[in-house]
Amino acid sequence: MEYRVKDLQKYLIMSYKNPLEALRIIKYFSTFEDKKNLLGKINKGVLPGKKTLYQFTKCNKLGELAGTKYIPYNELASLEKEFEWVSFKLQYFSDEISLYLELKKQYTQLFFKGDYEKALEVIKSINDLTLSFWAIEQELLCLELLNGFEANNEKLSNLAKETNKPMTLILMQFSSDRVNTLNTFNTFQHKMQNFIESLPDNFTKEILGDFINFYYLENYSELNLDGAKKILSFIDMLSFIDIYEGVIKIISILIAYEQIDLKQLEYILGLIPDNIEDFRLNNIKIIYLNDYTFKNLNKEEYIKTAKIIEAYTSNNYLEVQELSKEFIKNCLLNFSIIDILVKNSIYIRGDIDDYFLSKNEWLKKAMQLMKNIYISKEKEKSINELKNIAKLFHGTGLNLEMLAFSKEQRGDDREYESLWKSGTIYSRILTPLRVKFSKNDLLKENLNSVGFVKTMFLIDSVDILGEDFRSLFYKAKNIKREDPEKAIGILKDLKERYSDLNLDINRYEYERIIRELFFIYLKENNIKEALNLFIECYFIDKDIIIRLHSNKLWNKITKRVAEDLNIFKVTILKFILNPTDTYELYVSLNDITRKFKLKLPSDFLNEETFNIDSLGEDKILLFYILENLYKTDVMKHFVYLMPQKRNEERIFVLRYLIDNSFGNIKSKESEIKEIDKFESVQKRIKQIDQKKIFVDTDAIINEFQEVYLDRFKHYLALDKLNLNITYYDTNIMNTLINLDKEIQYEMKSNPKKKIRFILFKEIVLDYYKELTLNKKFGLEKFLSSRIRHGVLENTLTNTLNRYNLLSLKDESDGNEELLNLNRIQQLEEYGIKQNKDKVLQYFNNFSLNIIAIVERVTNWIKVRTLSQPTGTFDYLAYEKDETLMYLYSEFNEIKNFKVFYSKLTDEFWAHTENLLDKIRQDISTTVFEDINKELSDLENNLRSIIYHDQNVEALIGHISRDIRNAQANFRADLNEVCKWMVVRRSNEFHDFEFNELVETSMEIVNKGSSSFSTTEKIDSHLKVKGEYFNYFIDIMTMLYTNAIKHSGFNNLQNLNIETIISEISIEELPKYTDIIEVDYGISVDKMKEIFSNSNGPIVKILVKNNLGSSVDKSRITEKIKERFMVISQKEVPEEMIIGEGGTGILKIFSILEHNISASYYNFYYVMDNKMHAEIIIDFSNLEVSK
Amino acid sequence: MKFLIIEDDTTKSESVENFLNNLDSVEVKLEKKVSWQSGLIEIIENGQDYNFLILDMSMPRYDPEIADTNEEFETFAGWEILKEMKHLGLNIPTCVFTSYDYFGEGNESVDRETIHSNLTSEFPGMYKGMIYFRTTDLSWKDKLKKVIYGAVGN
Repeated sequence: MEYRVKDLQKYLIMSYKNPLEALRIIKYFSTFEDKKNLLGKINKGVLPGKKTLYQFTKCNKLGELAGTKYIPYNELASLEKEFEWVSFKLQYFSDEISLYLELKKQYTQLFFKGDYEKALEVIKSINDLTLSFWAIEQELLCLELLNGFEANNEKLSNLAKETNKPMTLILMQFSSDRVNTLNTFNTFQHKMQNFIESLPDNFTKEILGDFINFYYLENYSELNLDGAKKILSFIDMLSFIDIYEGVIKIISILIAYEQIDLKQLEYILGLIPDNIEDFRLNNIKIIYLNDYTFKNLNKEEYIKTAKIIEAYTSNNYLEVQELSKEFIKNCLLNFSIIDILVKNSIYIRGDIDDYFLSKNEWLKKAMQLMKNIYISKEKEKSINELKNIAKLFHGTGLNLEMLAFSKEQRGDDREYESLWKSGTIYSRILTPLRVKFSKNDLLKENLNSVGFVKTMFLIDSVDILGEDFRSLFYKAKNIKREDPEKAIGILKDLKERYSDLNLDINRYEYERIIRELFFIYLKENNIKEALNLFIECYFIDKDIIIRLHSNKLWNKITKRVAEDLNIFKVTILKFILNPTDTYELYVSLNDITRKFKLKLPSDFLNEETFNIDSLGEDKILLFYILENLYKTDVMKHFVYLMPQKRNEERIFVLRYLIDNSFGNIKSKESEIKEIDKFESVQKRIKQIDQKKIFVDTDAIINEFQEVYLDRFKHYLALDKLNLNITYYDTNIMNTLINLDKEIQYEMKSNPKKKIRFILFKEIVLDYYKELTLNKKFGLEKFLSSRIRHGVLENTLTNTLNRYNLLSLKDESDGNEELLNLNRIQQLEEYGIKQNKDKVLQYFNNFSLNIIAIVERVTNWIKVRTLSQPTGTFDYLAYEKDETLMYLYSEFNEIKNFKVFYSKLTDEFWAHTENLLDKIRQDISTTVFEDINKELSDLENNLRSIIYHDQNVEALIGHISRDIRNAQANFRADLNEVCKWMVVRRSNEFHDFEFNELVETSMEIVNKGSSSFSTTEKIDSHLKVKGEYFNYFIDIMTMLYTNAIKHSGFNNLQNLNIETIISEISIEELPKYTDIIEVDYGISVDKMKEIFSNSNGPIVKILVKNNLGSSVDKSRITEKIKERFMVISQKEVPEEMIIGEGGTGILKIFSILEHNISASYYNFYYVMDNKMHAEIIIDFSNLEVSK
Repeated sequence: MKFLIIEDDTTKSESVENFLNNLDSVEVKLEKKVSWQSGLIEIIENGQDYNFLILDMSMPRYDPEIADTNEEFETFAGWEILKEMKHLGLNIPTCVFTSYDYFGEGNESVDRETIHSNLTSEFPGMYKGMIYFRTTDLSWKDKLKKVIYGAVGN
């Protein structure tokens, strides 16, 4: 419905004091012409509303930014209506926008050159036009690149002092995060998503979610018309620069992703003021509307770019180098030139630095990554890193092309095409390659005329220009549809010619050749060749097949009878596609095994059952399959293979492959070692009920590892930052944003906090949120699936059911009738009619009360949130600053990522244990009493009937007996539930004594070695907490392995390892250190000091072994000293702890320091021709309380 | 009529057993298995003898005397059994009997309705439906009866 202009005019005049509603009506319920007429009058001041309409569209104070009143959204209105509305603002500020575009060009040029200081000057000029989020982000970016994230944060902090508007603060924070070079794209994305999730479910969430998704997360494929409308209505509140940039981006994405048709596009473009000169608008017109004109473009830039690209096409790489230097000096860089420079550097085997004369290190880094991607060197990693850099370039427009490049190089064709098209709109220069998708023939002619002659010919023609790679490759590409066989022939020749993949040039070309070849094979349905090519290349280098569409190949394979296909290759393809689907891998393995009439895959390796050489070349494929697929998690699907045999089976396969020198021997040896350890340790694991109170912490950390690691690094980096930054509390802001109501953003609190604490808070809140509410691995998920659903009710009512005391619901007829069929039958048997209904009614009432109790308990078994206030699993305390401050002080010194998260996890479980204690108590007292009371009431009620009706006495007696039996037995049900209410971490070990520790460790070590003699003297019978078992196993096995590896005996029968474990007192300490005091300068007083606070047993663990005559004792002592030097710095690099080899001293140090966390002393020395490893530990907190 | 029940929860399997023994006009023979392995082996070796299979979805991979039932508790064991039956060409009418609203963890987490619709499309003919079991609700009996009679044409 559209209103008459006169009525609208009247309404506007009447509501001059608050014209927002009148403006809303004009926006959504008038024709474009009427709107134009009315807004013309508003602009001239003839009608009221100008202040409301444009109040802060142009602003020079931060407090005014995003301050224009929001016109309530009308979801029924068209996209055109939203565009029309913002176009009036663009019209009103069109001169300023033209000026802005001119300044933006200057800024971008300086930015690309790395002249950030001058670029910042230009930003100041842009700010004189109006403030904008675009300029704020660019300012933060320049500061970040100039002086690091400290400068970015400091600027943000200063900006935050100028406004208290949460919206502005939040958006500035997001910009600061986006340009923070320490934040990867994934970390940034994670933060944005968490923010959106934290908003209450209302329109604010919808609109802000859409805006963030589009503007910050760049999820362009998710932008639909509804989202676009909302974003347009949202950006109407911003300044004209942000409105303009938003409008251009939305148009570009909508047309590139085909969300609007050409007619709509033409209409929308017609709304943009004519006097705005923007190459992006021209590009849209050229590509989509067949408009072609150079009048507004820099023809010189075009001609120069064409010259460079033409030189490249003609293989004149040195000329490219020279021309580029000149271009960078005088012209604004564009992505096509960047791309050519990268490829050129591959051909001239030179460094990008040689001719890319910019101080912009991040652009150089991006180019280096592009080079790595082209030559398939750490391709996946480089693509991810490029995405991280692309986010920095968001405001310069380069990011769209970088993202498109990333998608193309990952082989993500669908998303790539649309991104490429939108990137083309943002491309300063339209090159033949960029506009290949355009149907504008005039454009192609014109590209010819600016100088892209050879390139146009190369891309389109089937005639060969020469015998060089590029000519032949494009010929094959261009004839592949008409003459696929010929194209295949050319590509096969090229493949042969460029097969030496040690050369970067060849790697670049080879990858492109096989991609084309693979494409043709698929197109021609030559599945066999496609599969052969894929597997061949997979084994050459996994990086070069990233762009081959294995999914398409798989789909074709599954759609036909594939008897002529190599079953080993098909299996490997399946594995590459989905390495975690153990059942499907089993099916393939089983098919292979059955094809050769064998029972188990390992039978292939058994001479008695199979002649492995009969497989010919496929033998290697089988080896690969056995190594990578035939693992214990796949073996579990073989129904006749007993679980105890799996490890045996795996070790047999691994040993066979080691003996046949297949693949990485070390990795196989270490896998065998792990299996040995697992088997020995497994015996000590408690047999427990299914873990009901469980959180898959490993899976959570794994899922978010990249984000967590980034953030932790950032947190550590801030340790050195000595800034007392005034900051704001994001939490408070989160709760204050509410666009639904009148916007009243008043910061109630602005506490002074160090940024590091803010980050710490973010880490803890984020991690605990995942631990509790993660939909896949969090506590709530397990509470729901393992307790609340079915099993809790079944267990709590088990006894009551057994004694037929519960009336059950019968919903089969659509009614919720309660029936106690057993008692109904009994009443009939006893011939009771008079009080039958009364008896049954008592049972029904009893049942309803019991169900209410069950529901009450069910409601306890929930993580407490705002929407689940009855939950007993209450972690809300961790959202409070007091708790976090306490944790912060506790965790402040931790510098190791794993230790940090492990401590956070410990804290989580300790708190959970307290909560569980309360639940256990409530179940065993309150719930017990309540059920007991219900049972007594039931009995009393039933007995009361006897006073009026003697006929029921026998039956009631019978029922009473059942009730008493139930009363005697139902506690077992409650106990069962209580048993679930204990913390179950991933592995739980029995509490242990030292003899068990030594025995298990020896068993593990012995599995890998031939026999040596051992002596044990264990004088302590201390019981140690099971949670430390694995750590002590690691220490002991390392000590024993050291003894074996470094003893210097060829024949281990000469080796004797002594283990002496005893409890000692502080007074006894000195006598153990005499020998080392001299060598290592260790003071006895210092040792005493370490153990002075001990109020429990101190245990000395000594492992010593004899040494062979060839062992250089002084070298050993030297090595030990070196290690101790590293340890004394307390910051042992993680790779030294994780790394293989060495004596394990650093690993032992790490375990003692971080995992066992008790007072300790350890030293290693040679005495009496024996190596001594001595560890003294305070067991006060490790022993099981007596 | 010969039934195979593969179910690790004794409350459930006893309830089903009692129910089957009281079925009208059906002479019931019954075999019970408590894990994926023992159930699947029974199907492989004697599958052709059974007229109907009552199958739990989540259960231990092995019987308690073979391995720790908690360590290898399989959320989709029933599904795997159905897949193997299909692979082996054994077409025993089957209904899935469960107390859970949804199954699995991680990316595999699915609700009852989704599982039902997936099973229906993956095992047409063999899969006869899903019965939701609760001790405080009787309606499962009626549903199970309908499924059994429907499957055997009674």
